[in-house]
Amino acid sequence: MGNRQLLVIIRSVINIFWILQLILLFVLFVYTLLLVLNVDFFDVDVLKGFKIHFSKIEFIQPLIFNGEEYNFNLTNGEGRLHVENLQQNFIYYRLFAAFIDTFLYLLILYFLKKIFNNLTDNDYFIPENGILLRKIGFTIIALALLPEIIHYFTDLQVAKYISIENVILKTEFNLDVQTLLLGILVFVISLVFLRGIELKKDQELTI
Amino acid sequence: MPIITNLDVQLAKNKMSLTELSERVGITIANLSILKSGKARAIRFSTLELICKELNCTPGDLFEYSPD
Repeated sequence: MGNRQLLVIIRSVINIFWILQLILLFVLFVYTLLLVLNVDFFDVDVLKGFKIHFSKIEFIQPLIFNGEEYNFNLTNGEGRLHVENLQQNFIYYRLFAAFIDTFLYLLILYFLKKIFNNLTDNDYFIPENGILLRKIGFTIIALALLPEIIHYFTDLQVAKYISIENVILKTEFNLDVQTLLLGILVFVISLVFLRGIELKKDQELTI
Repeated sequence: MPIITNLDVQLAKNKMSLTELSERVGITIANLSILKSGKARAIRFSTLELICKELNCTPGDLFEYSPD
């Protein structure tokens, strides 16, 4: 398989992801619309569950194992909390984080599409590719931070207004270190790439 | 760039065209045009030596410094 063929295949895969992400954005939009309009033809209550993070859930009923009773608990997890007839905005905060998440993924895929278009046109070492890489780096860093910040403040609100017996809600800031490091790495690579292009130009303009 | 190339002046003094200089020093017209138009970022000593030899001039005759 040639280099160009491989690039075309990767570009097609990126296009598929791009379409899937667009569909997801549309679904999120419809979801939000159904919630806001509170339509009659659909039971919107089933959509009203919102994600919570918990540190500990203590169970009153014991666990039975081989006929013996044991006290047990669940730690460090997440789940969707459904409360009937509760007027709350937590679901909208979560949706906002999901919108940002989806939008940032779309942005990364858009930049990748442009890079792969350049590569299939045999434009490898052009400043545009370096700038696109730099933008991807920034977007990945934003992807690691923004949704988590929104989740953190939502968790704080949830813990402030909702109290459930035997459940300790979690309000820790979960920094996505791997994604953050990946973003920084891409950013550094883009700087090196741009410097390489500058050196190439120097070489070309040396008589 | 504050470095100005006077290649065209030296060519005129020697009544030589860019094509002729290109043939004599073995550098493409495209590269000499880059030098003449002031777009060049660097020049090799070997190239400078060849041009100075053919145009009977010094590097100081080819370039001048003019602050922005």
